[in-house]
Amino acid sequence: MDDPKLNKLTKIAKMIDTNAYRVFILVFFVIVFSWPYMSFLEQVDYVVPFTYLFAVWGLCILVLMIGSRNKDDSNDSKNNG
Amino acid sequence: MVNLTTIIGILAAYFVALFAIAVYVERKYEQGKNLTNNAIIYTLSLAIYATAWTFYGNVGLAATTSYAFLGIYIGPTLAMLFGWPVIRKLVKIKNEYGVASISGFLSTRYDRSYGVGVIATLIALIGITPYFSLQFKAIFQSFSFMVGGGAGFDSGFIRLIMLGMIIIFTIAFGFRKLEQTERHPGMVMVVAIQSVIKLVAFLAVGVFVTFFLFNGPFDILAQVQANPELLEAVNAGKPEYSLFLSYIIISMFAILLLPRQFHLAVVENSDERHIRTAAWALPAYLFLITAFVFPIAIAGILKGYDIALADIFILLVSAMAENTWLTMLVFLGGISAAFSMIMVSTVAITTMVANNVLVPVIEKISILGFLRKWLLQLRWLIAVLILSLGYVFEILTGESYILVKIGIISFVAVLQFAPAVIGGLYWERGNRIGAIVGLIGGFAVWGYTSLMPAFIRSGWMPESLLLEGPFGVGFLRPENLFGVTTIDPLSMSIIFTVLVNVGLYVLVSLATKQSEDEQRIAYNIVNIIRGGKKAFLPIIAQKEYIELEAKRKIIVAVFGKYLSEEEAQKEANECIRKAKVEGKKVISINALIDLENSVENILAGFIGSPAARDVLEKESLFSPEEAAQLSNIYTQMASDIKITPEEFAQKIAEQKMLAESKNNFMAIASHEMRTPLTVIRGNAELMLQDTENKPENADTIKSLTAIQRNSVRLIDIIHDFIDVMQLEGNTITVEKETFDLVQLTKEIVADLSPVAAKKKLFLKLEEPQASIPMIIADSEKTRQVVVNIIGNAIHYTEKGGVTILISTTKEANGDFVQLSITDTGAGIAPESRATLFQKFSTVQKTFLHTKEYGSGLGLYIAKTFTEAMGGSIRLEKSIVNEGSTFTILLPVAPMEAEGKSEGK
Repeated sequence: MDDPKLNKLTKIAKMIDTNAYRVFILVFFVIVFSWPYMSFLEQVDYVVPFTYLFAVWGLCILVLMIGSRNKDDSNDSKNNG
Repeated sequence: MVNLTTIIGILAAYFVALFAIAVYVERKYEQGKNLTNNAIIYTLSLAIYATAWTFYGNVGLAATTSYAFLGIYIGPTLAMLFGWPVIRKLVKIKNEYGVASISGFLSTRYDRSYGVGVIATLIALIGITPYFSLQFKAIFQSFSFMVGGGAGFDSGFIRLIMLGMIIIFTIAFGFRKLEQTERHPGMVMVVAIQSVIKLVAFLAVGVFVTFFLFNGPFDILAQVQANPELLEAVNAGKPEYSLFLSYIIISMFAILLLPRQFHLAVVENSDERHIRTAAWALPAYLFLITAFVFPIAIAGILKGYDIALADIFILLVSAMAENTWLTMLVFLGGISAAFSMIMVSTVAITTMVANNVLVPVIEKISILGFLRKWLLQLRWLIAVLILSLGYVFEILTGESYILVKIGIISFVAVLQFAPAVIGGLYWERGNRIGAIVGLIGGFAVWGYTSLMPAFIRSGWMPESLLLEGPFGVGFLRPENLFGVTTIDPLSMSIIFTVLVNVGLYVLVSLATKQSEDEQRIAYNIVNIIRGGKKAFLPIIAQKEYIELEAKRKIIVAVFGKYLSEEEAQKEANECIRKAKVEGKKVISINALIDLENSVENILAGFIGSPAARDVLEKESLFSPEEAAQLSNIYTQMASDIKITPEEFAQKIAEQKMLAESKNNFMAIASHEMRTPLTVIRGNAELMLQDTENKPENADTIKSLTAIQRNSVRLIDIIHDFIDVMQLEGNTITVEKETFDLVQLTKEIVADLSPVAAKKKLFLKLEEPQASIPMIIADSEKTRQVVVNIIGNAIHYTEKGGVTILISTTKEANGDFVQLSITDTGAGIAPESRATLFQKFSTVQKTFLHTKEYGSGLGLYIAKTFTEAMGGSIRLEKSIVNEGSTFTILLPVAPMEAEGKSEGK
């Protein structure tokens, strides 16, 4: 029988692997990466921004890893001509 | 530190070891085993992005710009969100058009224009070659440290020896063959190994600094907190946001558009699926190689080293371990980072110069025609010149400002490719003139806002230009163009170059028209994932009357201009194989079009796409009569259907769209149907297992068995559909592996024996009479073909059985292993044999539907797979009601063939 958790992950991977979501994720991460410059880290020392940037970076790699699980190429002909 | 002789010896041993590995990998590749056809090796090769600038310079950047430098590695991570669609599309274009470099892609896309190719080459040459100097500097500086320690060591003679070593190994790894679309597995393996070495070295120093020099990361933090001066220095204001964002933007494009990245990601790609792995594994690599940058930078400062030495902090702190091996590992890591960049960039830029400048000049000036035979040697010469240029630039710049900034300046230069590349991939209206004007405009603004300020700061131009602007016009100050003062100069340069480049590209493309040829290429490239090219191929007479041998002679003559007789023959055979007319004596005009396309494609790999087209325009495979006949066929077609040319074009476009939607629908439907059917089949099997075999359950068992049997049949049909769609969309990949066909056949016979036994048939594999050599083919696809033919034989045989015989045979085009499958079944009527291997042929439908078996596509798939693997399949003989013999021929692996001929 199919593992429901695996199915869910495959669905997420398929979703991430569309151009609309790629653009959304790009904008989302650009904003999140820019956060140290924008607000709450104004007064904190150098350690926090470093830790924050590496944590967000790790999350971004995780999203890419999930997206790469999609083996279905049918989106490409729709999206990428 | 280390004795001069020892260090030169270690370096020489290191490079000789790499060379031995490269030669081994290349040899295996020639024998049909591609050791670099692996997602991890592909990813590690892309990690060439981390050059000496990363290895040494990151620590310096961290010490001076705090965390802004991370933008240079976060950018590629974000770019990888689009890695799969963009790189995959470029790989398809490379395979279809023989693209060997980024300038090759641009000139191909924009009407096979020499102009676009030359401009792109100049941008790469001017923008990237100075970057070599940074790598040379890293090599010389680390060498000097290793030999002289703190005192340093410098010798012009040693520098020249090292330059010589770099030239020799670059040529040895990258220029062993003329064809540049052909992969360099040896070079790719060397780059991958060097990526491992630089990562291990960096991590080793990071671990040493964090856990041995200090007592973990918290100890480093505590020591910083306890040092008020240092604390003030590292907290001295956040880096500018615009700088961080600019780093992200330029590096997002650099990861693909830098010539070395394009070369490894696109030209050297051997399997599209590797791109998916690299999309996350490359960012993970970059994450790891930057993880310890900050601790190393802090350690250097805490240990009292001058911040001016930040670029060699990694060497300085590794020396504190008093472990020569660790320092040597770091030294080799730095050398690896610099050398792999130099090697692959030289290969990429040399290919650009050769294909876009040298070959066109040779083709245009007839007295230079004799140089065609010396193209490989001329490439070596260009490589030497490029490397020497980088070396001279390093000597001239010394410690000047420009050398420090050249990495970022180069990144902004390659950013100028972005509008033409992205527009070329996704916007059909983007045209040649737009691309030329956009590239020139963007590059000019780059020269003015990025390069000139660096020259001024290096003291090579008057400083007044920077402070007062040219002719005292403050409005034109290069770093504050049009009075922009609120953002840093880098961000300003990026904004203006992109604005000018994109603006000109779009506006000029909209204002000017494409030629018909350019429209066709633009359409084909933009729609390549949907198989755009096929839509333009007219359906013309299939009559075969053109002598293939005459065309082969022309092809040999064309290749013979650049290659030896033997190599030209080999390439001609490859063109014939690619056009799928192998073994034929006469071909149709339709096949001649395919043949000319395959010649152009392969020739483009040697001399570039524009020159290949020019050569074939002069020496076309079409005789005047054949060209006239082709024209007549088109005219006849248009006149038969009595429509105007405009309507004709419209009809073609409509048909094209119809075919696309049909293919898309079929692809989606097949994929979507497969999953629920698998669930139905699985559940039916589970229910069958759970149902007790009692008389009252007989009907249930019968129904469940029918569900299970039919769902299996449907899944098989869907697999056939998917195979056919992949074949028609050219998305199928054929691996080249060397394996034993006898062993594979034994396994298949063992698998299918129960099926034959159920029908009380025999299934036997005759013991070969002689030793059977290994074959070179795709083992999975070979299995599919053999299972299909044996499966059919069992299915259509009611008594007797199936006999399989394996032998060797020599055909006109080489040695083959022959697999003959003979059954005692129904046989095939003579009138049906001609169309037996066609898709959905009447024969197959009748042949198959009567027995409710298969999709009618199996033999078509088997034939196409076999031919794609360089083999063939045929119906040897068939007698109705007595049986049939099918023969499959698959090529003998090269090493086996050599061994065999030597043995004779």
